[in-house]
Amino acid sequence: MFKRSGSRLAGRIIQSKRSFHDVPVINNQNQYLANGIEGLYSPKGFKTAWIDYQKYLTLNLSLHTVGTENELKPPFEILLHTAKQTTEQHTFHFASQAHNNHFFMQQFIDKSEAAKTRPSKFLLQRLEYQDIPDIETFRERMLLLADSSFGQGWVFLVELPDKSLKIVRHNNDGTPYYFGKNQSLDLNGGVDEGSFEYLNGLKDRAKNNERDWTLPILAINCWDHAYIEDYGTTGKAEYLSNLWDCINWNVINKRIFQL
Amino acid sequence: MLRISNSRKVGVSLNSKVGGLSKLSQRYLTYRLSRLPALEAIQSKKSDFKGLFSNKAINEVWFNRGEQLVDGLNQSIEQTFVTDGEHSLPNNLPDLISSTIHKPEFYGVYCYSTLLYNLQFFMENIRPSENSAHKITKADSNSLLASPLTEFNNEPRDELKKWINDSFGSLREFRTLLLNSAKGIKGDGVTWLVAESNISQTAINNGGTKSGRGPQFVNLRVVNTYNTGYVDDSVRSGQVNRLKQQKKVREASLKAKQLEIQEKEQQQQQQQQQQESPSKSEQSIVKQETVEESIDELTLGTIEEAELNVLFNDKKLVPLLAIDASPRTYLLDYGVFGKQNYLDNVWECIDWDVVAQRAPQRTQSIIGDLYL
Repeated sequence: MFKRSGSRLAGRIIQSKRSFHDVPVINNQNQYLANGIEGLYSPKGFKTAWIDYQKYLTLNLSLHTVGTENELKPPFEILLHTAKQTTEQHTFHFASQAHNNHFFMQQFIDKSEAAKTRPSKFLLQRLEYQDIPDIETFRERMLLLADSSFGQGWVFLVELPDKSLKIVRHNNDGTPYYFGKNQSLDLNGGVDEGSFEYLNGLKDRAKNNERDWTLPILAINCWDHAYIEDYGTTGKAEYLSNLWDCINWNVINKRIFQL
Repeated sequence: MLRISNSRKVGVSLNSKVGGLSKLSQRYLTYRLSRLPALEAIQSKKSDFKGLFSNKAINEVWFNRGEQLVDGLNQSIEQTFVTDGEHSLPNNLPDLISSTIHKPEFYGVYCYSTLLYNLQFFMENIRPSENSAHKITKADSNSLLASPLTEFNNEPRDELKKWINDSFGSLREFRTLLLNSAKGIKGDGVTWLVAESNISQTAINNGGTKSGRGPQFVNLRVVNTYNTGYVDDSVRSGQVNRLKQQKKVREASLKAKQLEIQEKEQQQQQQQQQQESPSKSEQSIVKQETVEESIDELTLGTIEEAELNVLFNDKKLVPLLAIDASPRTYLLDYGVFGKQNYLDNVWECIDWDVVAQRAPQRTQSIIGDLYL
């Protein structure tokens, strides 16, 4: 009987599945909570930058998406889905930040362990194509861009569709996955002609429904949440320098497209 | 520490200032962090900023960050003005901002001076609160689900209170709008209470109103600025529009040239075709004229149009009150979840006497008075 009614209704049964966004568990999370990440975060600093901030983002994401079409989607899909919707930008913020912060936190390991890892030859070779001859130059370019930008934001190493690498800055909650929302321009202050042309270009590209196939390889979080606990309001430079020494290159090497 | 040489706009950790200062001051003006007596006292007594900041937080937010911004400002002045040492610098921040805001080459100077201006403006309009009900405590994730606080004690007086009531309906509505605007800022930013003038800055520059009086201030408004944004719209307004106009002029001159060439060609053709049929060339001219831009009502307008319509149309805005809503102001004392608590406390610490002093002379609109 059950079977019969079940099969009759099968096509119409609506799954009433409720779920909400929560903080993902990253590798060594408990160890970091107890001891911090050696060379980068104290236990308290790690808790603020990951557990607390991610909880803040995911809880807000749940609150903003409950009862909407985005309810059952992961942050990545939500950010792609809302990037173009002008009325969904609060949701976009929490989705984009949650995704970026997760992507960011997976990259680190204790300093002593990190010292055993190296950027792959393949990665270095690809950087060379972009006139970045060695890892020191790469470090300087990334960290200088991160340090010299005003306000909150992100610096990414990204892979473009033609598999070339590029260093980009995203202001505030910008995302590397869609050119219309990567927020790489700062229009406060004087606007030069290059920025103006780029801005107009963006409009045309969006109008033509141009797709964006950019993928992130390495992220640097410049939000206050990531460093204020351990480094204070003026400690960004020190934080960036420490952060570089704790990068687990084994993770980064795997993110690059390889045949 | 970062070992970066030859860097622009980096005010941090590149500290060779001590030797540079005296040399600097001979050729350029150097800026110093203002001394705010109330905050100096807090620093020397090592006490809290009662009702809002712990001693550690006020040190971080005002003293450390303020010094860092001043350093950055002086450095970017040094770096940018070395290339053209002719410029003389104004001795106050608003003038420095308005003289650099349109010039991309002074981006660093502009950013540091605006951040400094915004921070100081905020610090000057708050004072420690004696009300012990408002505590500086870290909030947990449950506070995101809590109902907003509706009780408040700190109120403006007399004229200002009446002006706020007339502009926003009631004090309660104003408070909700102000604090929610601040809460809506996700990254760095400042929420302002401003007095809006009735005529545009361009009109003021062109000789003011017919009656010969200056601009009149009828309404108060709440405005957000983000990152290094500057509150007075009349200073910045129309920049993108100007760029567009420049482009138009350029393109028009290009087109004119092309037309000239075309006409010459046509004339040559006409001369050749004169014997055959002169009507053909006329047709082509008519065709050209009918090609016009078609306007699609369903698509969003341009960025320039938005700037022109949505912003304050070049209106002079006189700021009265600033609330810094950037994460650094609340992360240290209130934690990741504590922005609402921080904002509730900021309200209780607003120094309404300072706000009232900053207000320009109010012009009551006659029509408005009839209805109120």
